[in-house]
Parts: sequence; C-alpha cells; structure tokens
Amino acid sequence: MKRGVRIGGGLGYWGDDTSAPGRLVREADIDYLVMDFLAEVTMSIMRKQMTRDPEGGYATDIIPILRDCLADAVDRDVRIVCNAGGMNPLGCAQAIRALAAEFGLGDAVVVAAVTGDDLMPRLEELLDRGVELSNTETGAPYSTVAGSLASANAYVGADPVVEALERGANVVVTGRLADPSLTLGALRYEYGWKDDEWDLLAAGTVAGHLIECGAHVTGGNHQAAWQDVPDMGDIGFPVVEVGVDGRIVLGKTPHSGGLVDEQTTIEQLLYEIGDPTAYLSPDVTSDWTTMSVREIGKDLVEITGVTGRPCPATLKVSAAYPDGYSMTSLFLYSAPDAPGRARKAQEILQFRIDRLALDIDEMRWDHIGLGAVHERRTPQTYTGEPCEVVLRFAARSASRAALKRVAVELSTVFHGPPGKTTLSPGRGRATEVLSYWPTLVPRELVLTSVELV
Amino acid sequence: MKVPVGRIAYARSGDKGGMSNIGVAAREPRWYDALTRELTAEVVQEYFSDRATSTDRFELPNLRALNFLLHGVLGKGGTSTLRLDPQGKALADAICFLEIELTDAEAARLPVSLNREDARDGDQA
Repeated sequence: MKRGVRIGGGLGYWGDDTSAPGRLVREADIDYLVMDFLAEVTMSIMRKQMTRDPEGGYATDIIPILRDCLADAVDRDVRIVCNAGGMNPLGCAQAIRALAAEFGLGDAVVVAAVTGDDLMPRLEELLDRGVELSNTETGAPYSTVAGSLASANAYVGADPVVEALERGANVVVTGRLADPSLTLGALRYEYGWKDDEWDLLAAGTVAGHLIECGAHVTGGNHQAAWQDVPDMGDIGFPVVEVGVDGRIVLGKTPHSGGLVDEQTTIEQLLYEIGDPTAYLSPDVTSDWTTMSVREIGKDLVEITGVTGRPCPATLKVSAAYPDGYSMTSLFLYSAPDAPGRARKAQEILQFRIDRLALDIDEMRWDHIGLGAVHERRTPQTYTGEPCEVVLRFAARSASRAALKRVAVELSTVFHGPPGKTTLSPGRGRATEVLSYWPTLVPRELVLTSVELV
Repeated sequence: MKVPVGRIAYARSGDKGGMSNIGVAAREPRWYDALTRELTAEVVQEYFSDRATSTDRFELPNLRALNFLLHGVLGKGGTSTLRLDPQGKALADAICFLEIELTDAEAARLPVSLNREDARDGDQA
C-alpha cells in the first residue's frame, strides 16, 4: 500500500525546544514540517514589539530552528508550513530568505508569506459594514473597547496554504492561521481534497489538532500515567501519516523517548475542545464523536471515522486590549511554623496596603505549599504541615502608580515574622495586562493573499 | 464505595478565554458507564462552584470520555487572571480528586493499581 503523507509537528508553543523540528526533518521521514507558534494573546505581544522594531513582530525562534534544519529540509524535500509570521509574515519571510541566501540556497528555497488576517487597519470598515465585533464570551459591545484594541486577527483557514504550495513554495509563513489548518493545507494540496469534502477536511483537522501541541501527545503532560513514560528527557515529537481516505496514523520521532498510545492520543483529542460534535475551525465543523482510536503497534495509533459538516459562516477573531496593570510578589517562609509566619505576613501587609487607600481593582493572596492550586479540592492526605510556604501576592489596577506604591509597601515585609528568604530580588514590577476580546467576522470579509518572497 | 475519579479515569484541561475545558476519559471502557452516571454537570458545577458560574457537559462515547466546559473559572482569561494556574492546566488533576460512588459490582472490579497491565488483568477477570 502506498504510504500516506507524513507530517511532523515540530513545536507545541513559542519557546518550545528549537532542536525538535530538525530532528523530525532528519530522522522521521516526513514530507511536511508544521509548527504552531501562536497562543491567544501572542499577536498582541508581537504587535507591541513591532511598534518598537518595525522589522520584528514575528516569532524569532523560527530563525535558529531553520538555521538548524533548512538545508536538511531542502535536501530531503521536506516542506515547512508555520504561523511564525505573527504580526509580520512578510518580515519573517524576508528573514528566512536572507538565511537561505546565507546558506547558498537562494534558488532552492521559495518562501511564501500569507497576509490578510490582520484586521486592525480595517476595523472602521468592518463596523461600517455592520459587523458588531462584540465580545462573544461576555456579550459586551465593541463600544467598551473602541479605539483601544491592541490587535485583532482573524483565524484564517487552509486556503492560502494550498495556494502557496501550488505556487511552488517550500516554506510557507503565515500570520494567525488556525493551528490545525497548517496541517490541513498540506493535505489538501497533496490530495486535492475539495473545500466541501467535509469528512476529509475534518480528518485533516483532527490530524492537525493531534500534532499542534508537540510533545503533549507523545507522553509529555501525560496525566494518565506520567510515571510510565520512558526516557522523558529525550521525548519525541509527533508525526501523523494521513491517507487519501482520511485515515490517520499517529506516531513520533523514531528512537526517541516518550510514548504514543490510546491514552496520550485521547488526552490530546480532549485538549481545548468545547462541544465535541461541533469543533469549529475556519475550514470545517468537525465531529469528534464519530472517530475510532486504536493502538496498532508500538507508539502507533490509528484514528479513523472522522466526520465533518460545512464550515461556519463566521471566522473567529483573536483580539486583545490593554486592561490596566498587574503585579505579583513572592515571599518564601521557612520552618518552624512556616504557615503561621506566612499568615502573619499577609495580615500585616494587607493592613498596610489598605491604610494607603489606593485605587486597586483586585488583590489576591496564595499560600503555596498549602493547597493553593487546588484550594478546597486539595485531598486531606496532602494537608500535613510543610517545611516551607511561599506567600504570593497579586494585584491588578488601572493605575501603574498605585501598584508601584504597593510594591514599596511590600518591602516592609522584613518588619514582620522571621524566616523570610528572598525568592526574587528587588521590588515587584507592574506590567501591562492585555485582556482577550474574542469576536467574530463574516468569512467573506476576510481576504488573504499569498506573496512569494 | 466511594473512589476518586482518578482511580477510573484520567483528564486533560486547558483554557478557552475565560472558560476552561476538562476532558475526562475512562481508563478502561468498562468505567465509562459509571463516569457518565456519577459525573453529571451538576456534580462538577457543585465541585467547582467557588470558581465556575456554570458547567456544560458533553459526551464522547467513542473515546469513553466526557468533556466539561466550565464558564468563568479563569475570569477574563489566562492573561488577566491573578490566579495561579492561569490556563487551568491543573483543573484536570482537581477533577480526579472528586469522589464518586461505585456500585458493589463495579468496586469489585477495581484494579489493584493504576498500572495499565494490572488494569487490563482486571478487565479479563
């Protein structure tokens, strides 16, 4: 039987292991390397970077990654599809082009930049056309953030990836392309799947979802049985082999650590989903409840029977707005009576902060070591007295000055109980908060374009 | 007999804006019925009532799994909440501490450990 198209997921998040993609290229016999760099508010952070450096605004880790594996990818005819472009796909593509030239690969590398997801220049036009841009989660109207959005990007689908590959690109750089659409674009190009073959598009979307978090499907973050994961320090990254009929076989980098089995697969399938009968992506509405998951060999899992329905009429928009400032500080208390010392420190610091009557929107104290994460759900078996407690203070305010004043007050912590050890030197710093503004836009109003660089 | 969810299931959670989802899957197919019966949306909402404003439940019988969508647990979302675990990754562990009731017949088939071989032996018994 002819082997299917093999796609490696080289990255789970921006900041992930930059050596994993190269290893997939060299060792996993892949046809495509896809990499997802973008989280919900990454775009806002990148836009901020771009105001300081107009040539920035993209995921710069792409450069060391490609420095490691671009030549090998060209040599092995592995095409690369990634959303490292962030706010600046063109700038990112040009940096990759410069790298290719440096390697003497100027003729062998065709870089495509996909643009059009950035809606910031078009907000007025969209409002004029009657798009509400209200917050889909809270129902709040756009007027509450009008003029203050830090970024607004539509999640676009696989179409421009298909176009870029058809035009001969072997490195495709996008902005806010939806994570699974990177993979689906490669599959649609290879197999000529039509944009209304919903079951196949859904299968490609599931394949993309399985590999978009990198090592989280190969034994990383394996809640079911993390103790049983072999050689976790050398964990492999995921590879899906997808057939023309939409059959998926999930595996990982050969001779690597980690594991792929039914449980690691199901964990990843359950990650960040809502209604499983209607997983919405720009390309298709996928049904997560019809597929079968079956182990077919060591570190090999087969997924079949995925079904899909027509894509949504709207595209999700990832937007964010500046929402004041926040600050955290950590105070480590040691035995004896670390819990009592931390409690006392909280009491006196809270008293001193309250006395200042500052404009603080929210304050929070956590006693790390005493069930701070699970709170009332912490099992009784874990509630013995620890030798250390970390007292954590967090605050949010519209006023940076107010938080700076709080930071000064927190430095009086040394007047309190003994046993405080410095965890982080200096005063806490107030940093800008970007809050998420999820909204929708009719899909026909988002126009992407592909430019070869 | 009461057992923590983690004896018969595993979970993964993550953030979706101010919401979080928790997927809970049966460790072996035979536990799916008990999970579905005991782990209702109401039970989960009560368990997280200090944090969630409401909870939806969805069933994935093909994966022997349930998916819970907890509204409001992350405030305005991962970047603005002051909470520890701003992306709700630890909620998967929290739900595994929740104690549910197994029938005597079900309890008799509990594996001696969470080791997968033991669990499978239990299936054949």
